Amino acid sequence: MESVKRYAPYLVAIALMFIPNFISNEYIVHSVLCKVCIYIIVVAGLDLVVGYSGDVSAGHAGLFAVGAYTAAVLMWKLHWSFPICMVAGAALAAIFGVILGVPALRLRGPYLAVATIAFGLIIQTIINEAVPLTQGSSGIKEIPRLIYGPINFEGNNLFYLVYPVMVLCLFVVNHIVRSYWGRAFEALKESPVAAGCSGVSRYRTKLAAFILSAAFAGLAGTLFCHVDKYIGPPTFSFELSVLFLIMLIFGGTRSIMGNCLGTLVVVVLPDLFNNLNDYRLMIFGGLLLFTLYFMPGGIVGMLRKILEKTGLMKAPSRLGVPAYVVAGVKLGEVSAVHLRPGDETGKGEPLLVTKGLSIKFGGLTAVNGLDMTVTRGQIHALIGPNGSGKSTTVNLLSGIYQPTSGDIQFRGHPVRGSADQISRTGIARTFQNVALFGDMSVLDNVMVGLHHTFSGGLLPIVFRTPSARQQAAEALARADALLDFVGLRALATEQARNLPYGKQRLLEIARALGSDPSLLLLDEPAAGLTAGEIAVMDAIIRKVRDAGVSVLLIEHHMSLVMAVSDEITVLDFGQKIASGTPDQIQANDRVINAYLGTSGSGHTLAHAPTH
Amino acid sequence: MSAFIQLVFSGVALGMIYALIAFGYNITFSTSRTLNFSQGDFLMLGAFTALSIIGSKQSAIPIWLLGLLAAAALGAVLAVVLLEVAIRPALKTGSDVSWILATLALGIIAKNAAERIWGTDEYPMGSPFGRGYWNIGGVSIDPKEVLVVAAAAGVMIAFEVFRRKSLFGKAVTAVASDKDAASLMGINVPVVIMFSFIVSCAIAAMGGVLIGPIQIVSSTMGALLGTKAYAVSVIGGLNSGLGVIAGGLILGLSEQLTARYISTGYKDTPGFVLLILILLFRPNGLFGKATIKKV
Amino acid sequence: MLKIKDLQVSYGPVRALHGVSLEVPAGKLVCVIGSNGAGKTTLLRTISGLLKPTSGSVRLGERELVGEKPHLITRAGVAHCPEGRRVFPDLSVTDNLVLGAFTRLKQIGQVEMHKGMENIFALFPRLQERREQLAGTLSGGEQQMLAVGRALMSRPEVLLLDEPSMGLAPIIIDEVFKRLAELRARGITMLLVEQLAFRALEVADYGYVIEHGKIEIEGTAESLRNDPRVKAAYLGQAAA
Repeated sequence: MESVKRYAPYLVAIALMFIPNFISNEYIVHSVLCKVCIYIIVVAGLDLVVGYSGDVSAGHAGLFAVGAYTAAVLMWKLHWSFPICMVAGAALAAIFGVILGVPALRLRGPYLAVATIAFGLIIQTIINEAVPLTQGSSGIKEIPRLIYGPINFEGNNLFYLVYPVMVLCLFVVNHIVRSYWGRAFEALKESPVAAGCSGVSRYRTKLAAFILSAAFAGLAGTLFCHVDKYIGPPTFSFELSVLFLIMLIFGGTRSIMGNCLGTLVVVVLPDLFNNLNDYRLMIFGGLLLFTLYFMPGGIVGMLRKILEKTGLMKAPSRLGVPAYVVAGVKLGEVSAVHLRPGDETGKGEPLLVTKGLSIKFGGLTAVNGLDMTVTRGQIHALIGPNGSGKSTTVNLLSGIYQPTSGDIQFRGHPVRGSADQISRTGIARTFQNVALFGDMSVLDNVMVGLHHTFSGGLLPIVFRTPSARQQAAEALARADALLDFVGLRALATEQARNLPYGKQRLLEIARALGSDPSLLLLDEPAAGLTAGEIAVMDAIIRKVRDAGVSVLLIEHHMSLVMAVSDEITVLDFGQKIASGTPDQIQANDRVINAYLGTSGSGHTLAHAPTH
Repeated sequence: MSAFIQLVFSGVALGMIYALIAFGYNITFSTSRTLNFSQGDFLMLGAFTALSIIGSKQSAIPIWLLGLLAAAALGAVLAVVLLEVAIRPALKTGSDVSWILATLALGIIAKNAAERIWGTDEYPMGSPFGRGYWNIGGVSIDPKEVLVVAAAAGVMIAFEVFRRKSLFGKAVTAVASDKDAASLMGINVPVVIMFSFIVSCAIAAMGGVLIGPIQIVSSTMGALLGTKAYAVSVIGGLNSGLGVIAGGLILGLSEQLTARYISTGYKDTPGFVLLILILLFRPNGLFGKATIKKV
Repeated sequence: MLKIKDLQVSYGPVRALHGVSLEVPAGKLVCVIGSNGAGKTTLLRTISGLLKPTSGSVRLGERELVGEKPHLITRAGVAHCPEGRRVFPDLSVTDNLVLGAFTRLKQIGQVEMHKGMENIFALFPRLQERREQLAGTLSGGEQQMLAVGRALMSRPEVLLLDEPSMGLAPIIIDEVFKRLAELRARGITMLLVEQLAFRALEVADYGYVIEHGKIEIEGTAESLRNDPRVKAAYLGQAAA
């Protein structure tokens, strides 16, 4: 039964290959189905950007045009063979992807949408103006026929070319989204900050998604010029870019089935209602709005809901890890996690040292000349009244803010850099307001934490080479062990957002441990927990330390702080006012003043004015 | 020389239109952190509405003003639709993707509607001035362009004065910088946001009435204007206030110079090139402030 | 004046307030003290409508405030000086104060408003010196005074103060609390939420100690000042 399920998509894919053998209608096969296949390639690629990494490109028609014109011009003027033209078209579109993505994705905000819209319009201008190459507004009609001896891809036979290419593309997309790349895309969409602190570079990852997406659009374009054997500028309009988005959203993002269904419906629908053709864009615009608000998962999301309700399908356990990896690993084999074996040797020596660490926001100095030393193998608490600069310190140490002055020494080396770089040096963190990847499974959350254990570029992922499989299997085993470490193994396939709050806090710790840290920054891990959950947290924090990871704990829950800490540093208005053991801190007058405000004005409690 | 001055003046006029639309983007961006990707189409609808009142010939000033007013009124209505249909529900979903897609959807609906009502033809549009040129010191200046510069500058300055001097204007600034704190002042935040959209869309629609007589009115006129205005917003800085004027002038002039010295066909390209360059080298715009976001 | 009964508030799955009840009589300064994360800010944000409680009631005189929009609660006479000051950085000191009078300006007119502003300047002379400066360029202490002054501009029936000492140096905190004592002497009804327990108790008439979203201790300011449990609520049992 399992194997039927596993191979069924492949069997269906092969069966569909023979459509032209059964349907001879040239319009249906050549004009409609071929176009559908080509658009599906664009839409599946667009999904990488919109569905997975959460940006919007409204200029994919431009990238599609780049592919189409590249192929047409190279074949017509230079008589290049079509396969090479396909590569060239995809490559040139990818280059435009770089030109657009490099500036637009550096910033947060709607810049990619702005840049791609502008690009789409400019490509039309260029096509119109570069007459010697593109023949301007009259378009290119001289596209050579695809006839190679006895093999002929003209007419309905074009399907035998575009369909396998489409299947291949979907196959590639599928492998990408189920790899550590796909997880990184999704993680960035759900929480860019948490993804960064798990070692995922926001900029590079988003750029990768967009460039890949551009390449798919370009590749599809090279096929497109053979459908009508004519291409002209009006085809590649802004409306087409929006239509691609509608196909994607209407079908349902993050689903190959959704990509296919959405494209099919949007291409075929106007043919069914010919008399409504004049109102086509209004209908599609309305469809997009309707889908956004009333059917957010698109057709596929709706079908899934219906099937789940009627009991025909179980709620998906989106493991996100391909079955072949699971098969290779005996889960539960590695239970004793030794987190940082190499670090035990330096016990008692300084691990993290800050000197004169300061940061200013406008006129306000949030952290002011902080000197602090965290000793290897200890639980070090950082406490202080509200607004004293604790969270800012954590953000400085994890690379979210860059200090205005001062420096941070970690394991004897100065550290500075963005969050993902800091994560790779061995500092991991959790967040005050839990920042999990809510849509992803519990296991996948930890897998994102293990992002740094993966290496190798696109090709090993696409071909699932033995080394890629090995990496995935090892990461999976490690993730499983980490979940066991925090007591969440049984919940591995749950969606993270469905975990009870206390368990979400534990999952954050497991994810943070995935980056193999020497130092774990816990930002208010007990906030919002019940007494029972705090007891569990207490035990886990000690367990982390005992496994060789030093802990810097920021916490308001004083009984927890006093119980677990080896050493405590106290901050007030951005400065260190005391440090010592819990007993020393509890007896320290400056600390008591900072918290309770007994002096400073000179009058003590005894002199307090009585009203 | 006089040809060159004429060219510069045309660039200034064009730039002021871009600046005016971009000014509208900045107002709504400051209060809602969104950009309306159908603004260009709202401009086009404004132009068509005014066209049906003003006609294609020289018109009396009251008629022209009536057209301008009608366009602004339409812009206000469109703003309400935009906010209630595309922006507010999308912001509830918490992702940028939703409002971008929703405003794109409104754009194609608006364009299709215009095609159904007014067709796909191109129309000339009348203004209080005829075909004649003013001769100022040997330089012929198109009075329609003077009107554009004066009106655009007037609208922007009026709004800035309103924003700085009036109580409600200060409330707009307060909402832009801190919604919670603004509501604690007793400011009705949703109403202020609605107001900012109405101003922004009315400005765009009036922009259509100003540009119509210089260019041409058609269902496709909004796409390029709207897009170039994004570029101007980004060049000036999305949070820069009047920085858009500099951004608009830079773009307007570079387009005229491109058309004159490179090729008329490529006159639309500087916007894209400048956009990419600014994003690369001065991502907060020429006059925008870098902001550190608290996590 | 202000009566809060059995207020419960949650952030998603996390309960922040577990049934808080308290009362602020007219003309009195009542403080709620407790360490960070105890629910103090949540309490004030709920009173002023920025958060919706899951149950409970907040009454200002006879008027129920739960369910009202924040701007209407302000208009009803509750001024909230928020945590972290939240002045409008791009507006001048004067404009910040003008916005403080937003709800009343139409009724009272410019003249009366300027009188009110002069009163604020009399209370905080530093603000007068910097009246044309942008609020974002003020020091932390000055911003705090501006935030208090801005809240007072609406002539509220109740003034909610959220940790006016936050992030300030002790000497500035002295200054701020001196002003609060003056306001109290003028008979302004205040609900002060503060971490610096003894500072708050110095100026307050009555106090509540909040811990993990619950009122654990309450009493006159004087009785709380001598209660060892207050200290324990902050730094753990050993400190008692």
